Amino acid sequence: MKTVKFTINGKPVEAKENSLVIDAAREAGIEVPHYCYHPALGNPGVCRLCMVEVEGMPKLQVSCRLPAKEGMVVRSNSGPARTAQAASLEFHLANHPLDCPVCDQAGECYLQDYYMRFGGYTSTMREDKVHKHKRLDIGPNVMLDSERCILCTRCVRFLDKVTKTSELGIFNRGSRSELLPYPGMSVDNPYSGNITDICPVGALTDKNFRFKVRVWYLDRTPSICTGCARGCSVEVHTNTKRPWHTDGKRVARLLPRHNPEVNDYWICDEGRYGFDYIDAPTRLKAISVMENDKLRGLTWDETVAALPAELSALCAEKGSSGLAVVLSGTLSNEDLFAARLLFVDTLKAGHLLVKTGPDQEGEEDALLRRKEKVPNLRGAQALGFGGRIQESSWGNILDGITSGKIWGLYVVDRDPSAVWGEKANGALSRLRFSAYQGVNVTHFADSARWVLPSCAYVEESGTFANFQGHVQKAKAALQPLGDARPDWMIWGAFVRALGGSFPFDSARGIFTHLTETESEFKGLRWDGLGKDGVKLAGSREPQTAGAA
Amino acid sequence: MTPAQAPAAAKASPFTAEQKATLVAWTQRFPYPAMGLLEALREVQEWHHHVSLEDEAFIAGLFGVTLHHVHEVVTFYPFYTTKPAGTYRIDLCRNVSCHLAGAHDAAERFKTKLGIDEGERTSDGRFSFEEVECLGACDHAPAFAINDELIGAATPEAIDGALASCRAGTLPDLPPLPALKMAASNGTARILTEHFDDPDLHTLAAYRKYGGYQGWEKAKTMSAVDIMGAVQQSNLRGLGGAGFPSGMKWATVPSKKDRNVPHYLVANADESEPGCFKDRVLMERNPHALIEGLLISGKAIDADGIYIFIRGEYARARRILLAAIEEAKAAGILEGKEILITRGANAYISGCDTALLETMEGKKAWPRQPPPFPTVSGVMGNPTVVNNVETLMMTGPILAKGAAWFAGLGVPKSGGTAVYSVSGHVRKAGVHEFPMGTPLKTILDAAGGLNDGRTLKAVIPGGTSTPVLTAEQALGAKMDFDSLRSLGTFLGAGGVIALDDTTDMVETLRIIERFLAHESCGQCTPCREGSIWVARVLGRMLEGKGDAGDLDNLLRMGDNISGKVICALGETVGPVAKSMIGKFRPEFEARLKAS
Repeated sequence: MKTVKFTINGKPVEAKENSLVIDAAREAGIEVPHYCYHPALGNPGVCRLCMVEVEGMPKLQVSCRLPAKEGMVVRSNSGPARTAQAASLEFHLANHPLDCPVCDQAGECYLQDYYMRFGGYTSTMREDKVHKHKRLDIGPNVMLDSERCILCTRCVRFLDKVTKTSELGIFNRGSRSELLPYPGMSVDNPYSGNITDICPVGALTDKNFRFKVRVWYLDRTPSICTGCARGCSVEVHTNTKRPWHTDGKRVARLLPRHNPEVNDYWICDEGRYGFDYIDAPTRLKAISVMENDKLRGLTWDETVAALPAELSALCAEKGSSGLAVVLSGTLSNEDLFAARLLFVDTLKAGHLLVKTGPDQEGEEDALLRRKEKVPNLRGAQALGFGGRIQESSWGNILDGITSGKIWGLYVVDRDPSAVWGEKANGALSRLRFSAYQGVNVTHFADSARWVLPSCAYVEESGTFANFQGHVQKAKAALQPLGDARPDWMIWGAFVRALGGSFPFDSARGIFTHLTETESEFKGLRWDGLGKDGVKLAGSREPQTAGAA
Repeated sequence: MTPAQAPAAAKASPFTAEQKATLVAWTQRFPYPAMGLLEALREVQEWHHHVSLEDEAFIAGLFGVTLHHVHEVVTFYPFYTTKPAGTYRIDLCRNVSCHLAGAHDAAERFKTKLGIDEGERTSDGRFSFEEVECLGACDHAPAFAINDELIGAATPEAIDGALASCRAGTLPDLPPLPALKMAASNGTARILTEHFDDPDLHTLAAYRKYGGYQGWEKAKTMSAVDIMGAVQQSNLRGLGGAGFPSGMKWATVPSKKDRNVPHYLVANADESEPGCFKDRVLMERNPHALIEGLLISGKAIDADGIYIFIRGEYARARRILLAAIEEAKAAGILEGKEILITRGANAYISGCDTALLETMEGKKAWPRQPPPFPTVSGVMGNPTVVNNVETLMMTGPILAKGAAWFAGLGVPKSGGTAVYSVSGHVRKAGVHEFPMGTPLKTILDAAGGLNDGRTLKAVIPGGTSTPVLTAEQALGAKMDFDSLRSLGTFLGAGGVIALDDTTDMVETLRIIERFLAHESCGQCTPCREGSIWVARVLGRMLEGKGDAGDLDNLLRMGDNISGKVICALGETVGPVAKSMIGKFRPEFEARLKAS
């Protein structure tokens, strides 16, 4: 499509012909205030806030509906444009309750922000405000205060166009217009939380987050959601400054981060609210080993000295084909690389399992959710798991244990009991060696000889490849809890303890090594992953599933 | 994900088999099923006296739309109620002309006689009473309607008679059709009202006797381009308010050679501007003129579907049109074409062409934002010409008698005549037809002038959306688009409201602004929030609580709305206030001082 050149506030910009001026402005670093326009939900042009002056046009234009043309001279900061923006804000706020001190949106409210930047007028409103419904519980995750609503219609459009569930409408008309659920309906769909994000004001707030902590106390870290094979880009919001506000829970919320390649602007509720495990009481914080039916605590140094030696000796004694290692798609590429080095290359374990089973599968739909509830199956595949490294299965491993062929089981982040049910207890008691390494206590962890605490993904940096082969970086947002360490670090130390080489001290270092040695990672760079991520070499053509 | 279903959907069907068949028929009447949605809901409202959630669920299923779509429609349009209305639903107009004629006293009488407040229903369920914004019947001020049937002026006798009649189980008699005896024309030409003294004018025979359908006969021999050319040469301009040259509008319809999609023609009979009622009278008295106009215009734009979008309150005009269409069909005039009538549900905004399209498509009337214009993308995305009733009616005579004749009757750039609705403080409210450029004084005189002893204070020249003229301006004004524009106002739809020296301008402005706030669709923020704000400030001033900054604030708010809103409704909030306050400021200031 043809590119046109024009100016916004004197700044030369280039944009596709007929693309929206408001977008071109944003790309040029000029924010034109707006409420109703949302790039994924269209430009109804109803808020009338994004007014700009265009040379040669007698009337001000809404820039969200203004097509870019060659030679245009656009001003969002001229006197008339500024006056119109302030006027529109005044109308937006005329019947707004101005209850910021008790509103959970405060601090990330576009009425507040725009008033400070584009409003700044003195209120002349003397009339009684129009009253509407307050504090409406409209769904499992969302509260509505329709007095705060500015009727931008973003949520209605989201529910009409994206989820196609149409629970909300704008009923009545004129100043009596009101955003409400259809009588008797609840906004109860797998993506309902998104409407609290796109609501530019405090009308729709998140029941799971509201009144917990003021947003200005939060730290924000770009990351990904590890809830399924989609690997949606998210921002992790952590509260470490005022732990008493969130009952000591460090992760306060996850918000979607725009990524056109992966999740657009959205995440599902499953992913959004699925972070409780990170600060749950079930978190593993210390190493333990069962000796003579007694639990003993160990340091990492003691563990590195003991565990690899024990495993290596058993392999020598009983044959490494009797060692089964259950890994997980929750592990990063860097973790899986270290796992491969330890379990495949060094110990030559007879059974390896990464792919999902009934323990890691759930609902999927056409929008985002994937059946495989782990983020990195495609990365595991790129590292050879399921390819040149043959994968075992939950069934084979159970058979092997039952028949006595398997003497050792090393499980990472998963629970055999969830798959084997009753059969697990009998089988596990036959094991000579058992280790659980993971984030939270599981049934298996209770009975394993070794229990090693590893970091939750928000506590370590790492890369993950989603089912489309899209590699994204999750940055550490928090310090590891207790003695928890990154999985790669644990295994790296074990490799060294067994006399191997593991010359890495960061995920970044491992990733760089992968880009030099692994064909699928060739050409990628840690810094080059940027905020959107990059596709694996083998996924430049879209694939349907990473777990093939 | 599948749309959630409300609990109501599970319940048993609220309709009889016969009613269901009627509703199903509405899904089949128009090229797109949704075009019958508002009509189907009208049936439901009439059967059940309200639209329940069960009804909504049935309609949503029938028309294949979401529940919230139907609920938005039901709550948007005042014709539908979610709580039961009376068997006899009484609407009393409270707008300017009716207010001047004593609507307040009439409302008191209704409320006293019925023992209910405004917006309530009698305990026996028989009556409900509402004060409404406009019935399009300023010639019957203070007008009232029962079940959308215009009954006439709400005099004490009429109120008592109507209530007695309803209590006995029948609607009261309808008023005689207006203006059977026109005032002398002073020798000036009349086109559409020339034969109003013939009580049978609405019949095909009478219409033909006076040369009717000769324009259509001529059109049949002409090419579409030639018809458009003739209309352009006639200087016919849109008489619904915008004054856009009609031939030019038609010319913007893309050729079917370039884009082979159906073309539609819609007569905008949603006349709802307070002060305007001429389209109603024209349709009641001269329906064949509209049919002829539709046939001619339909040929000019190669229309595949022809519709008359009429406001619901014009029940009688609709009946007369239906009969005329049947008559024309039987006489072979339609040549197999269909002219379908579709109704709105009593929202002023539906008269705005793009909002009208939304209403026709079975949605709430939120105006669209051109481009694309309706002539390119109208009904369901197809090229659609929306023309005012009177405008369409003029095309027959233009073709029959020639473009030059028509152009010659008017002024440069604006040909022919206009039919004025004259109301307010005049002796004989009614329609009066005069050539473009006629002095406003002539029109006021034709309406009998003011009552004895009264002097003219101001005139609203084109309907309440047009800025007011002082008496001095009015008496020097010529009535045509460009002359009025030079006076800072508009011809609009020719709704002349005379205001004499007894008029309270603060209250008049308040009524106008309250109307705009009430009719604002709520889509865009400045109009939604600004119109109610302006109305409330004026209401406070009327209560004697105005203060010094109010007037300047009103003017500032008007400026803040103007030029920033989606449609013409919002655009009128500011200029109307500005003209009133600017021209009668001492009167407004007196209100402040009194506080």
